[in-house]
Amino acid sequence: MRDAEIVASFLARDEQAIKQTEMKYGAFCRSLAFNFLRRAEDAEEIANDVLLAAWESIPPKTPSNLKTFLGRIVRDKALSRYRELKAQKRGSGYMELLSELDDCIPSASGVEDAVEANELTRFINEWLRSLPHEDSALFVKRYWSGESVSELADRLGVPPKRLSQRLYELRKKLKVFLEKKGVVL
Amino acid sequence: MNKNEKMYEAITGIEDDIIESAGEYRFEKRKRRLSWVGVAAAACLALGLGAFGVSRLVKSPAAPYEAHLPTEAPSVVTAEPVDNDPTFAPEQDRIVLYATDKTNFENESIPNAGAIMVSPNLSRTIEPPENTGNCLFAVTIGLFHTNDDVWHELNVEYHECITDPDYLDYSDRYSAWERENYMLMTAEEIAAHYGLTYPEFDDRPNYPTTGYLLMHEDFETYLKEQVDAEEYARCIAAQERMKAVCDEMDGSRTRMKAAYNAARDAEFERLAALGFDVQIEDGVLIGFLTADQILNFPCTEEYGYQIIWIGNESVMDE
Repeated sequence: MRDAEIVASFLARDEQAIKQTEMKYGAFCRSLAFNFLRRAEDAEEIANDVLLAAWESIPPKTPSNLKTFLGRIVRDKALSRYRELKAQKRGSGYMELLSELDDCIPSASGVEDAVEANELTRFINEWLRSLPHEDSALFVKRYWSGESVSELADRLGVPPKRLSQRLYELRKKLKVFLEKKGVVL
Repeated sequence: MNKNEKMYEAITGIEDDIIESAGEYRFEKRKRRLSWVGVAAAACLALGLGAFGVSRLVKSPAAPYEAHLPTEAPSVVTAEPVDNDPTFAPEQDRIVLYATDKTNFENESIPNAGAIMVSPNLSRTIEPPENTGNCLFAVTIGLFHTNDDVWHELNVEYHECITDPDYLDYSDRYSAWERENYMLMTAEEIAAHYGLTYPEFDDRPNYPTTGYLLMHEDFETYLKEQVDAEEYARCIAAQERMKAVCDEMDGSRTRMKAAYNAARDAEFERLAALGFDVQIEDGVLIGFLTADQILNFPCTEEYGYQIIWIGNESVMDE
C-alpha cells in the first residue's frame, strides 16, 4: 500500500492504517529503535508505541513522508526509554551517540538567549545541504538513524578508527558552522 | 534537557528529503589492505608457532578477523572475555570465544516469527567449518514478537476506552476545565502553581507523572460538584480503565514484560532440554553455542530470533 493511501486510512480513522503501517514499516521502526537501545525487548515495545502514536497524531498531522515521520517518533520514544535505562544504570547505544554530539555544540559566548530546537534544525539542514553527498549521508546515517561506526565503516570498506576520525571532523565542522551563525545552546 | 539532548532533538527534525537522500545513498566501498599484524599472525598460525595463543589473538583488533581463529583447538584454555563481561569466565577445558572488536551488526531487518538473524561477523566466523573446531561462541539470544498478543489485546482495550461515552464525558470536561484554569499559563507556571519545579512536575519516565496526578486530582474535586454521584462514578471508572491501559502501554508495561519473560523462560527450558548450554543472566538469555548449533538453530514459529556475539553489543556498563 502506498504511503498516501496509508495516511488516508489514518485520516479516515480506519484501523487498517495501523496494520498496513506495521507491515510496511514495522521492521524499520524496530531496527531504528534497536540502533539506539540495543535491546530486543525495548525495540519491540517502542515499535508498538510508534503505531499508537501515529494513530493519535494523524490527524491532525498529515505527514508527506510517512517513513521519516515514523522515524522521528521512534527517536523521541527511544530517548525517553534511554532516560529510563540510564536511571536503572543500564547503558545503550544512545550514550555513545549523545557523547559524540558534544563535539557539535558551539561554545557559548555572550549572553544571547539559547536557540530554539526548530531554529537549530534549520541551521543543521543548511549545513547538511552544503556538504558533499557522502558526508551528508554519513552524518545522517550515524546521528539520525543511529547506525554504528563499525557498520558504516564496513560499508565504506575503511577501518572503524578512520571513520571515527572522519565523523569527528564532521562534528567539528558543524560546531564551527553553528558558531559562525551565532548559535547558543 | 541538556545540550546534547537538545542537539539530538534538533537532528530529529532534519528535513525529509535529506533523510531520504541519505537512506538511498550507496557508499562506494574502498578496497582494504591487509595489515602487517594480520599477515604475521596468520603466518604464525600456519607454521604452528604456539606463541600466538588465542587470548593474544583476541586482543589484536587491528588484525583481520580470520587471524583470530584457531586452526585447531589449543590444549589450554586461553580465551578471555573482552571488556565488560567478567561474568562469563570460561570453564576449564572449554574454549569460549567472544567478539574481538566492536563490530556491530547490520540490523536493517528484524526477524519475523520463525526467522533468525545472526550478527554478520559471527555468521562469517562460523561458516567455514575449519575455523571453529570445538569452540563455543558466547552469544545473547534475543526474542521478537513475544508481545504480539498482548499488543493486540491492548489495542482492543484502548479502542474500547477511547470510544466509551463516559470516558469522552470525563475527557471533554477535563479539557474544558484545563482551558479555563490554565490556558494562559506556561508549563513552568503551572508547575509553580503546584509548588513544584517543572522537572518535578513532569517527572517522566514515571507514568503517570506527578503533574498529571495533581491536576487530575484537582479536576475530580471540581467534577464532583458539577455532576450527580452516578455520573461522577461512571466518569471516574472510565478514566481509571483508560489509565490502566495507558500504564500498560507507556508505564509499567507489566503484561508486556511478563509476556517477554515467559517467552524467554520457556525458550531457556526448551533449549536446555535440547542440550544447549544456556542460562539467564540479568534477565538476558545467554548461550554458549557451537557453530553447528548456531547454523542449525531450532527456531519455533512463535518468535523471531536474534543471536548476537557477546562483545558486539554497544551496551556499556556504567
